[in-house]
Amino acid sequence: MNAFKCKPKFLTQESNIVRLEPVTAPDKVKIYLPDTMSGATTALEAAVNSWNAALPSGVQFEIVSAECSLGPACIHVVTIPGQTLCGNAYKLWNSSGLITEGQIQLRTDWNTYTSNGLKRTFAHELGHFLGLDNSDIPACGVDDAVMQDDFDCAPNTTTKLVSPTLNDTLPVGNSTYGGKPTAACGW
Amino acid sequence: VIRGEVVTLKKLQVLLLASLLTVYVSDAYSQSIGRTIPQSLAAAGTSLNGAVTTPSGPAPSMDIVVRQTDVILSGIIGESRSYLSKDQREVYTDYTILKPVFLYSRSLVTSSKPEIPRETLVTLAGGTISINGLTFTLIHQALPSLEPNTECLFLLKRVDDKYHIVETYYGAFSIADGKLHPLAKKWGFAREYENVSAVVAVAAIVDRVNTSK
Repeated sequence: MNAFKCKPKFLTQESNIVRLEPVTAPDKVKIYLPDTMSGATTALEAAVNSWNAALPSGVQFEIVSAECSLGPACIHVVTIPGQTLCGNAYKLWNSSGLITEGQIQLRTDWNTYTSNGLKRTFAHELGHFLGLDNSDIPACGVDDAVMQDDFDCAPNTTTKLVSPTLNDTLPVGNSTYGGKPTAACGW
Repeated sequence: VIRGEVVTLKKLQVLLLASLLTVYVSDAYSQSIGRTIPQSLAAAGTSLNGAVTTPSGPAPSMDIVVRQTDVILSGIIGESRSYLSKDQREVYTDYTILKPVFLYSRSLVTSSKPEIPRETLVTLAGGTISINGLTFTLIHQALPSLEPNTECLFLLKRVDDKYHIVETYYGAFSIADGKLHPLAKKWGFAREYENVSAVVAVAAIVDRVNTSK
């Protein structure tokens, strides 16, 4: 499955992709999942493992259950009453496009999401921290791209699980995630 | 037996209260995670930009939007003013609506003492503010801003003393080229109004809100 079948879209700050600053191995970007949301661990692990396998260097994620200090190396998973769809990412960044803090925001009833819907939500929202914006719709089918945002997470719905793979050309440009040339597919 | 039932009911009430409190505490805790905007600026020591990405998931139906509508207002977008929210975790922008026309008001329908809304301000999430010489810009990608001098239709919900866009993004439409266009950048939303005239679409929405109450 190709995570970026369509031309990837990036969120940029002037000419810089808005992105996480890579951390030095073995350090990883922490994702804090509070105890009250421990039921989401399996889904978050699936999304994290997919991204970690697909990202060759620079940024790797790990899930932590102890609150980490909010900053570029820590993303908080939270619920917000105002969220009515599956989820979204909230991120702040400086003039260089480096993310200084971020949250993955889910609905308060996230535990009603389907298993695949919750995994897909995490995989999609994590993509936003790697500089990726939502894919074009309908050019990009919901089954084709992890950054296509029209998937469903509601009970009794079917969501195709889409994960990034090693064969994907992952975010590069002025980030250092992939290190691949920026010629193909517009970048 | 009767006394026993009373005790049971009281226990149930306590349990219900406790469970409600637990839900409240959970939400409050989640919301309390993270810094306020002034704290974020202080920690970074530099101006910051921020984005709330367009929510993932299928676009909401217009039924959800009309059910929450307190006021329908049309008019021209005028000046705006951004400010920090009371909890210091959000930026809001108030837009002045010129030549306002109130097409629906819930209070006129449901109240025994109806009030004709006089407010001509519409509040959007996001905007740019300055704190201690540092700039903070927060963009909600689903509805970044309103273009001045644009004719718009708003489905609004009363929050405290302000009128906010229903469902944050989905109650805002522009009127251009004789058509109604949803301003929310969410594919698939309000497609039922794509190919009808603005006059017909606005009348249909007002009727829909009226019949949903």
